[in-house]
Amino acid sequence: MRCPLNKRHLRELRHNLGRYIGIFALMAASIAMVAGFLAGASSIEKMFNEIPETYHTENGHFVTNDKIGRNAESALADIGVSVRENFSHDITTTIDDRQTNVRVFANRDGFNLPAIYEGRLPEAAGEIALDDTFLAKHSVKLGDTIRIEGKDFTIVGDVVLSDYTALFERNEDFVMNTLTFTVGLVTQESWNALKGDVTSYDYAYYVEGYDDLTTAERVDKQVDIAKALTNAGARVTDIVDMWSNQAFFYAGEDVTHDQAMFRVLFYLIIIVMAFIFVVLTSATIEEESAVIGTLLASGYNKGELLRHYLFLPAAVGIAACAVGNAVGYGLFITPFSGLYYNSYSFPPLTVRFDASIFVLTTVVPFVILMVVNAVGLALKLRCTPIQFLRHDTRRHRKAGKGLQLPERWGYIMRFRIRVFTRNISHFATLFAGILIASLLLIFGLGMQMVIEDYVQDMEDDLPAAYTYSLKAPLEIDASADKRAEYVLMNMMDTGNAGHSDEQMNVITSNLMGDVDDIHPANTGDIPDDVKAQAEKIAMGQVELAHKWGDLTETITVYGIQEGSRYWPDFDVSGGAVLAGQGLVAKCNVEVGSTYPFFDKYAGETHELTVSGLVGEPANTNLYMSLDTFNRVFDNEPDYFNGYVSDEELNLDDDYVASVLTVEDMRKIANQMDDSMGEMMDMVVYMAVVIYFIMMYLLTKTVIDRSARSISYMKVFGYRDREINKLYVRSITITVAVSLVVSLPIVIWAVCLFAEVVFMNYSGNFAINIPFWLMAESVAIGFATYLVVALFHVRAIKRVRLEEALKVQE
Amino acid sequence: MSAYLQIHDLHKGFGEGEARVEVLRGMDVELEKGEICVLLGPSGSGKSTFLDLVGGLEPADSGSIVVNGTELTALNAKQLGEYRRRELGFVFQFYNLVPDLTIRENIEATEYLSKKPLPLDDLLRGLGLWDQRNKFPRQVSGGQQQRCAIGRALVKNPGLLLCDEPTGALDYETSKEILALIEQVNRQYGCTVIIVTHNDAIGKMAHRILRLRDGVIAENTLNDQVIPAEMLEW
Repeated sequence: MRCPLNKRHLRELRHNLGRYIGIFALMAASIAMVAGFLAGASSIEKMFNEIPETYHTENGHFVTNDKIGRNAESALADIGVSVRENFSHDITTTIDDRQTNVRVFANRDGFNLPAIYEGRLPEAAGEIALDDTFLAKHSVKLGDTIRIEGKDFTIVGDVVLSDYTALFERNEDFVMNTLTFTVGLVTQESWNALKGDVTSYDYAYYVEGYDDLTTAERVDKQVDIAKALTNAGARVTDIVDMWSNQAFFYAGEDVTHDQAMFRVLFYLIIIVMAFIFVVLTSATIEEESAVIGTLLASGYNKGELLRHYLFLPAAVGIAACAVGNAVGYGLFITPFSGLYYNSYSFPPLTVRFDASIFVLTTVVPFVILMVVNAVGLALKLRCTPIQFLRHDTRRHRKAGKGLQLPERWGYIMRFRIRVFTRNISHFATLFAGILIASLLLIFGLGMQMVIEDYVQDMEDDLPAAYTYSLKAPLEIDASADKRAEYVLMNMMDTGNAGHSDEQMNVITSNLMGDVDDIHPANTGDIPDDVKAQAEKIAMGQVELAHKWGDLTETITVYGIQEGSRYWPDFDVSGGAVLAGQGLVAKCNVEVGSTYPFFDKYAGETHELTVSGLVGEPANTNLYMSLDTFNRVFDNEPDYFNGYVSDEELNLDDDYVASVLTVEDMRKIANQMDDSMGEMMDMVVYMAVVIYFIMMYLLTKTVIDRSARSISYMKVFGYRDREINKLYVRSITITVAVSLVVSLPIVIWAVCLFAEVVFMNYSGNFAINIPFWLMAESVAIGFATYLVVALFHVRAIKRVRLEEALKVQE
Repeated sequence: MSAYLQIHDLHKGFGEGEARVEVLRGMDVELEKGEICVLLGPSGSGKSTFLDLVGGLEPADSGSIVVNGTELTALNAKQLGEYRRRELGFVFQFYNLVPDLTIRENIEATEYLSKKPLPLDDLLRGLGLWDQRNKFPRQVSGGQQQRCAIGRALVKNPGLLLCDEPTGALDYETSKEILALIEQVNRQYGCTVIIVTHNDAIGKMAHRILRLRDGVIAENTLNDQVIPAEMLEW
């Protein structure tokens, strides 16, 4: 025979419909969002992992200052490395009224293959295929024409390149740039006809047995490649393994990373939801205490009662899992994966069902819900039948004396404290809910500001209006004769992709004899006063392990002039090595300690002792004198590869690798805003929904379980306003205090959370939550509560006088 | 001079259609200020309903209830609240104390409502609750809880004290103590007291005995041989 108590379930559901709908809605919404997100993200992740095989993506690439010769190719073949030319022109053009850098490649043949969203690959001169993400963010579309080097190119293809899943213009860039940078494909003939502002001799390389190599072996392989090329006479300006190439790995890593974060957040919400169920069901048990006592006295056992009270949490949990998954899979995959497709250039998505995600969004939350409830309710049901009969369920921890409050405290204050202590489990759960919602809210509201701070720090740390990175030392202060020689050399350039080794050797030996120890001279005119204020610098990159995780931080090392006008406060004399403040936060760098900085291009580790900290919190650079730099990196004593200048320098384009200006920093802010803004808005809305539902459910129970006392108050003649003062204001004060008291924990959690989110980014994102942001968060939380309080005021008004007259026992 | 409580042709029923039950069917009664009135009758006779109507907890279907010159049937819910606040003290059979307030705080709950409350400490001593004042209801006996309930009703010095089976949950000795206490406060503070009870013996301490049967006053007797509560026997 079925337990007759089961008949109560539907009635209880109807009786407390608002409560169950609230829990169901929050659980189902959380599951829907997480299921949608994880299903989309894991499909992207799987697809991303298959890109190398499907699209024959390079194992890495290197860039030389010119075409490599056959001897270099043979040297690479000897170490099991094959290469494919993947040359590109960077060409500046105007799209949507913005100066945009289009990196143009020739159609690839069997490597780094593109995926076509729409249209086709270029087949004739004057045709171009552009990156899908870039096209989505701009007004140009298929069939439109863009002008490149004075020629019209018709967009015939909407594509993504498998080696550019994230549009990083340079590997050392802080963020990708989908706004003013794109990649495109043209026919080989069209590519040959273009000159390019900058031409990159980029080679995709493939290593035999690459998939079996460990990370260390891959790094070793890079070093081998660099050495082989150098020994064969090639000058390597860049070499990047595919898993160090931000343009390739970053997007995939971001997707993987976010999934872990979402899971953690999701389970926190589910645990809080489970506790909400426990406190709500406990309130029901208290309310039905006499009935439970009677049932126990009549022969029911506690297991039967536990099962009875677990039924509704289980039913709501199952319904929420079913509806949440259905909605998540049906409606949320596209919008959530769209958040990634908004930023990254992935091939078209095929959603794949993943049983592990189903388990994560169905079985795991249900089990959490049931375990927390079973334990919580079993504890609640520990009372003896007589305790239940006497409504003494809250005192099963032996006869407590109760909280004594000083009589000198006003009655109202004591009453409010009693309301608080009576409902302390509700408020504790509410506090946990407020923590999670506040975490999301401050994260959502604060990240925009963190990004702004970061960019501002980076701007503040810019030493000059222009920082030029050179492919090779280029003298701006050469004699007139020397300049004339180089002008002549340039005139002899055939106009195709730069100078070959052979050309250079012939020209220079004819004109000047051996030039090995002489730097090229800039041929452009630069006024003397501009030359005078420019300073030579050297820049290199090293890596240092993050303070946690397996990641490494790529650090730019600056060799600067001692007593530099651009770094007036940086004392780099006497071999001093100064570290940016950001390295303290990111890599636990301390003054006086020695750290192994790894130079992956040379395959060497440099043990450097940090002698001071400099710069803004975002700064993760190292600074040393130019002499120290050249000694550490084993360069010629007069080596340099850059200039800092407050005036624009008219440098020969062939030698300029990049120019960093304040405008570039703005681009970073715009890009990050574009990538993260939508997500952050969603996080803020989610936080407000969680605030509302949790506050409503938990504080409503406080009112519900006080209904009889409220009714007494009405019988005694209390006005509704006075009752509100006792009950609603107690809740109001508790919510307000919770919102404020939780802040230190929330700020700590937000910092930790943000640190994980931004771990992959170069530089350090210093998380400073200003007072006004905390105030804003508290105000939003409190405003949400005020809406909830209106419901309570209404509920108190509706408490019937007859409640007091009901026979209690 | 008119009576303190005047009830005329009072009707009250519950339910609809065939299920409707007429609980009070034209009740008439008057009480003077300071009287102790005991309302007797079997279960279902309408005793508690009468108390609820006089207490302004339920609206009458028809008829008139005038308390200290105020016509209750003309009052809206808010005005009825003010009436209870100003005029009434309630004592229930099961005490109905707020479980999370101490004995003292339960009494303070109504002290707070009065502009001229009785001195709380004196009242606690008078009720014999001084030593228990910081205990919670669950920590004291039923008699002490009922004392507290009486204190809570009295502290605001009400004109009318309504007691619904005040000894229904108490043993014999404690019941007599509680009744003596009610008698004492009536004497001391001059409030009008209506006691609803099944127990005929309690009628002997009253100035007036009303017997209710089938929704009408079957007996309205002035008791000229009032017996002190501690002398009652049943």
